[in-house]
Amino acid sequence: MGRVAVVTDSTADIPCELIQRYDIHVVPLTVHIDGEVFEDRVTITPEEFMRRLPHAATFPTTSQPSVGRFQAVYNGLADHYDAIVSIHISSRLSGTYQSALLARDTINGRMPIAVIDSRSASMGMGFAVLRAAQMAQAGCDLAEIERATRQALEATHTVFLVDTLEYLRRGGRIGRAAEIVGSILQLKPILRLEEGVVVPFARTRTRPKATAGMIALIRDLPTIDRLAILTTSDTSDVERVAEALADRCPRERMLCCRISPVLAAHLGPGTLGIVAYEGDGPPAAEARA
Amino acid sequence: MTGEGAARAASHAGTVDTERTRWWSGRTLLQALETAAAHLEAHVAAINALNVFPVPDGDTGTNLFLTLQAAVREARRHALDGQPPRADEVLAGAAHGALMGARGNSGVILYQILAGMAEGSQGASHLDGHVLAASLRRGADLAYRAVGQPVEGTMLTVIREAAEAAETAAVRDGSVASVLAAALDRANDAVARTPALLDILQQAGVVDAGGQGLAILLGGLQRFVDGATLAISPADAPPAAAMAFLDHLDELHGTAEFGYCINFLLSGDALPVEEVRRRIAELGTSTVAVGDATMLKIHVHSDHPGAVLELALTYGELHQVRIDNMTAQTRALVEARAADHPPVPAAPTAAPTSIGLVAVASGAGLTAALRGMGADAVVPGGPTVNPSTAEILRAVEALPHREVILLPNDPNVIPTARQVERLTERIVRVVPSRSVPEGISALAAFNFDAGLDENVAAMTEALSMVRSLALTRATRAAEIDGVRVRAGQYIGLVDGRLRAAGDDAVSVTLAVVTQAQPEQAELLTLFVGEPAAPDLAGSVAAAIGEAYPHLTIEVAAGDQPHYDLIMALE
Repeated sequence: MGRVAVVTDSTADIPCELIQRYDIHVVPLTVHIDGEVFEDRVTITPEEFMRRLPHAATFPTTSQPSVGRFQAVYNGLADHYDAIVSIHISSRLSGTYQSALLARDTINGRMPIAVIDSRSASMGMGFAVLRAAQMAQAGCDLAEIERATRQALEATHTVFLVDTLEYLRRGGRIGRAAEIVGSILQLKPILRLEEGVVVPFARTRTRPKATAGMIALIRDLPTIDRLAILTTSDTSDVERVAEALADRCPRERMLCCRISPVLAAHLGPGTLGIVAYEGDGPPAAEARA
Repeated sequence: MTGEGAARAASHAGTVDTERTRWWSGRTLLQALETAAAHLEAHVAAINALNVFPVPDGDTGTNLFLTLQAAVREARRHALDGQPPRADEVLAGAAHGALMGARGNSGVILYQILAGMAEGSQGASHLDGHVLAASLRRGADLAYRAVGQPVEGTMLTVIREAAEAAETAAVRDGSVASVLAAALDRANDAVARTPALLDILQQAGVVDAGGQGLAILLGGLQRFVDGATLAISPADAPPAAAMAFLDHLDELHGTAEFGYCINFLLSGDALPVEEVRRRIAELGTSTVAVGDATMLKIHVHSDHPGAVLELALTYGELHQVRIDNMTAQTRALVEARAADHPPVPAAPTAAPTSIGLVAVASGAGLTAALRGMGADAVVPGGPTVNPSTAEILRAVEALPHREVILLPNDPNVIPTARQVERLTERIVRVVPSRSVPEGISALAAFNFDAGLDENVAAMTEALSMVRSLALTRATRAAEIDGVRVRAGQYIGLVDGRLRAAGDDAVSVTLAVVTQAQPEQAELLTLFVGEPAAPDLAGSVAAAIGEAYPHLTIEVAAGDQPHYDLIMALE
């Protein structure tokens, strides 16, 4: 049985030590701020990007990795692996998945490549990437890994709050949350990633209420195996969230992650997210039946 | 008020016919009710002034008058349909008019009383003292039963005592005049004793406004007995505010409607409302059947209007039958629309499963704020102008949603909102918000993914997560809960209670904020009202920001009448 390489993109927000431990291959997107171009998490760190964001003269923009970049990565892996699973940010938020598909088709035949649209982002796909990587290390074949990855994506729930809807709106990533834009009152809305797009959950008006609402939403899940707490800049709520969920998920199974510059460019400062992974089994299809 | 003068001019001085004193036919009863309404109208301002708190608020006199006016108009319309009306028919019509026209808490209680009187008089072609006593008793019983926790020292006490006196008097003398006189006497007594029963009235130095209004209504009937005949303005407004909303159903017709649109009133003694609705619905589409066991307004689309009418005839009598050919209308409508607008994609229609949100507020700014927070419709109305049941009902019926949550945003609008629950085929739930800040807090808790019950629970819970503060001017001098205030001074309210008074708007505002536990809050929203001075919001925001630097202060136009500021602290 051959070896399977695991590829994702820089928006997965998986902490560096886990990327190294599980031998995950990360393709960066690019972010443009004030006329400069950076490779996400390669030539600019989340911390540096958030330092610059509030002072940016114009809203930053982002772009997907080129097809060529994916070709190079896939070709490079062909010497050491027999197959690739390539898991990417929702095709409704970015063209990354399309680039990966094109790259797969143009190098067709060299090796089997499963390109998966996570219909999510950040650790919303990160947990599935980790699951795939664990299975790859355990020597599972591509079909098994692909199936498990899709199950893991189904078992992952992403909820977040933004300080302002302005970044999502300007960046065109607002999705169905567009219907809550236009309030003359302050909103700290609770949003979710659903079917790969941003959807509104509640028009919360203060950060503490939004945080409490997110915690309540996560607590409603029947099981929690792992949690990720995501931030763009302000990490002051992380401890509060961790504390409030500690009885549902042991601390050592929680990750605190900085959101990548590419995602942060569309979310803005002060974003706080919680991602819950329900666990490896039973398969979602059976759970629903 | 010229009402009294006009009243006197209209009365036939000295000509007291026996029908006025012994028993009333339906026609006489109608005149008596109309005289009582006109008499009440002359006292509206005096009753409005009997507010517990010296704030522009819950105008009981206005609400009682408008409700009684709707009752009289509907009773008159009802009476015009047939032969000389019977007394029980007049009361049934009045009850129905009051149901749809009810405004405010007092209006809803008046409706309950009239509904009880209609029940209590059933079978009586004339109203004599015995029937009057029995119907007052039934009215009192129904009013008590309708109120969750009856409070003594209110309209309830007055109607109960009046009914008791009427029953006693009827044993001795069965004339309308003596029974009414006894009821009125006791009602006046009971009104005078309301402050002894309700501490807040004692503190404010007023009698209960609703109770006083009821006694004045009985006093108007007494004036009729004494020979006066007063008139209220004719129903120039659309035919009885009642059910007027149905006249707008056409607006809801799509461009793909064919067949006939059939509208009529069905009257009967004990109409099986659900059964009628179900059987009519079997014959067509877009069925709406609204009303009660004595009268239903029915709207249905069908290819066979004759079959619909024949079915209805098996239950009772038909009135005001109107049948329109929608195929022809649709053709005309499509042509007219095409001329007006180039074809555009249809407005995004709400999924039939989604929940509609209807709020009540006055002021362009508050309306915009509520809409921005997700309200699909905002019914004009607020502390001083309470919307009628029919007005709220119409807003509900105009929405595409099958399920609707109502936010009354005023304690006095909650009872009318609750009436709407049983008047429509939509599933309507009331989240009893007592202020616009509470309404906004509830809207913020609305969850896009949850169902009706879960949302009602979450939104109701959210009502207590905000403190509602207000700055206005005292309408009179008062001393309540240790706060002394002169007429015209600024007063500050916390959750509807008087908490501060003074001549300086900024310090009164700061005082109420201080009393509302600002250290536990993080956001203060100021809605600037019509009477506010241009620099008020800025000065208040600066003073509060200095005193409580941790608070985020948000200033928005509210444009509400009477209140300089309405504030949400959360």
